Amino acid sequence: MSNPTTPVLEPDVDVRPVEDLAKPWRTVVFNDPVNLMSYVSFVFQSYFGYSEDKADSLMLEVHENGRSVVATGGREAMERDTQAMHEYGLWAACQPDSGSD
Amino acid sequence: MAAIDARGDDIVLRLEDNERSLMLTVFTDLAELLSEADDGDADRPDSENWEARLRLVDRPRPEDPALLRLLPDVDPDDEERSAEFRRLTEYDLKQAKAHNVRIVLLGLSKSSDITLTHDEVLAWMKGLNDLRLVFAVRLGIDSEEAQEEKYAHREDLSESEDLTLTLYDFLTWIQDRLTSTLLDQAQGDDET
Repeated sequence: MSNPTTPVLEPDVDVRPVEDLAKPWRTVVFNDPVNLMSYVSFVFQSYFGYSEDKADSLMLEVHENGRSVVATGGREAMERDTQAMHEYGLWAACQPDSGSD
Repeated sequence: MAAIDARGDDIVLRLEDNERSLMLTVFTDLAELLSEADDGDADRPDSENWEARLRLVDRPRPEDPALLRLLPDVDPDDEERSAEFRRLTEYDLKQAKAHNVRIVLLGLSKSSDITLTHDEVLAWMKGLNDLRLVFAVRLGIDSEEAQEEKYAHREDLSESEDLTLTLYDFLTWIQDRLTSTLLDQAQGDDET
């Protein structure tokens, strides 16, 4: 009788670590001297569907603190949001949410 | 002097002939910047780079700081993740930006009295913003202090820098007016 060893499949794909899926990520928008306050607020309203008040307060946070977390969630959703911000020309990044701010 | 007014759901932009021809020139430059092949093959524009379209090859991080500002890292603190994200998404982002510029050029090429639909206004706002980002990089405006410095010492600017700054202000005015007109229209819709 043979005693075959269990075949081990090692697919050559990029497998993300399990903790990545659960760990919340965030979309951060940074201040820059070019983007207009009216335009940044418009982007937050039209892309995220935020109210004018919420969009304005996030925009002011970017302006005054240099950055603001505008969305949090799963990695893919935050990557999508960051890509959208880049299409609008805002300076944004998708980062793991360390809970530091 | 240019004028921008709402007309129903559309927005009408009226430009002087010299304003229109200047805008045609600078937006054509932006279209060229966005169509440059990033593999250095001048005979093959990015739109025909099928390896890039299929996301098969790494895309080099742009060396031109203006292009890098248009196509930034997904996370400046993570080089490896940014390179992977660039491979997967940069082609689409660049095409989306080039598409916005094409809509602007199409509008400018027709007449000095340009009627824009809501979607066209969006493309114009994004295209104007991208061009202002490029101008800012070229002028060395990388902070609010640097910007104030440019205006405070305008007499020190070269002729071409001074023209770029004048154009930058003009594009800023158009983008701001388009944005506020669109926001007013949205509020009008809420009230009815």
